[in-house]
Amino acid sequence: MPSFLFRVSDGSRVFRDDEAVELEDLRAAADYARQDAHDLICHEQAGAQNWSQWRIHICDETGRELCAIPVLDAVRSTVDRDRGEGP
Amino acid sequence: MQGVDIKNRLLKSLPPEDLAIIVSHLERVPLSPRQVLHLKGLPMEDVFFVEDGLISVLAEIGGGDVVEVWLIGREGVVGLPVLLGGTTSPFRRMVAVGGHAFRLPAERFRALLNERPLFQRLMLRYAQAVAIQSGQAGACAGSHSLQQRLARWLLSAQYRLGRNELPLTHALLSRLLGTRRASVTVALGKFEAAGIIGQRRGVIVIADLERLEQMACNCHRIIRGAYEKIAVNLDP
Repeated sequence: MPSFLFRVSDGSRVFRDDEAVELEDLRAAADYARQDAHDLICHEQAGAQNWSQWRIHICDETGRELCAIPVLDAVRSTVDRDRGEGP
Repeated sequence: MQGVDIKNRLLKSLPPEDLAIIVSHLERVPLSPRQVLHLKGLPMEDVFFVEDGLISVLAEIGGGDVVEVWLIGREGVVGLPVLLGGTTSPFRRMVAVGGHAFRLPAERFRALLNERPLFQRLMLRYAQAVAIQSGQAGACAGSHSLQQRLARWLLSAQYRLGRNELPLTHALLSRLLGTRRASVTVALGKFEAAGIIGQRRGVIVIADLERLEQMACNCHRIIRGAYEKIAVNLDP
């Protein structure tokens, strides 16, 4: 199973956890990132400020970035999915 | 064991004659990371007075997953059910940070509790501190912010490990706090940016203890107070 590193940025700073997570594939990693996005908002990590700047970066285990998911988009797409809309 | 420098706070609180008798039954053992001391449901053969290192108490949450519910270091003993008259526990106890401990066979522990009243009193006060911790931690989890709870756990780990360098992963802390790892990563990153902690791979270093205490909720003081009271007026 491939391993992924997840990093969070708020527009000015990058927060890193250097312990990789084993997940099936990039799609599973995107789902994992979406759940992270939910949790970040639940814990008000931005102090109810500018969520639009926040991104979750999915990297391979060498640290090379594969994609970046805006936190707000991640939350929106999950809401759409729960409503039965969207992909 | 003569002249051994004991770090375990419970043992250190004993009057000299009780300590001398108990020490004669203790065996110094290493604690290796990921070593399991007690498995769920199996009789506990020994209790362990931790000198160095941290033991995770792990509860099952379904689907084969476990989460840490608390950590035991030199403030305590691993095997509380034995003290309270049981032999098994639904929790697994596993070494999270390596070090060493003093092992005491459960049968001998039970006998010493009966033979040495001050030892029994000390151990029951310890059980009371653990009960207060469990109750207060439950209230805290439901009421206080992630930042407050994280500060509390870092302080707790520092107290139990006896040093400012904490070999705790973001993953372990996230399970302890009931959050996703990313939320812990961000919270720790903010503490680091504020100069309260430093981080290097796998290690969190407390840089400003006083400011970390200001970040924690009052639950920290309530729980710490319960542990500090254990040894007070043990033998009035």
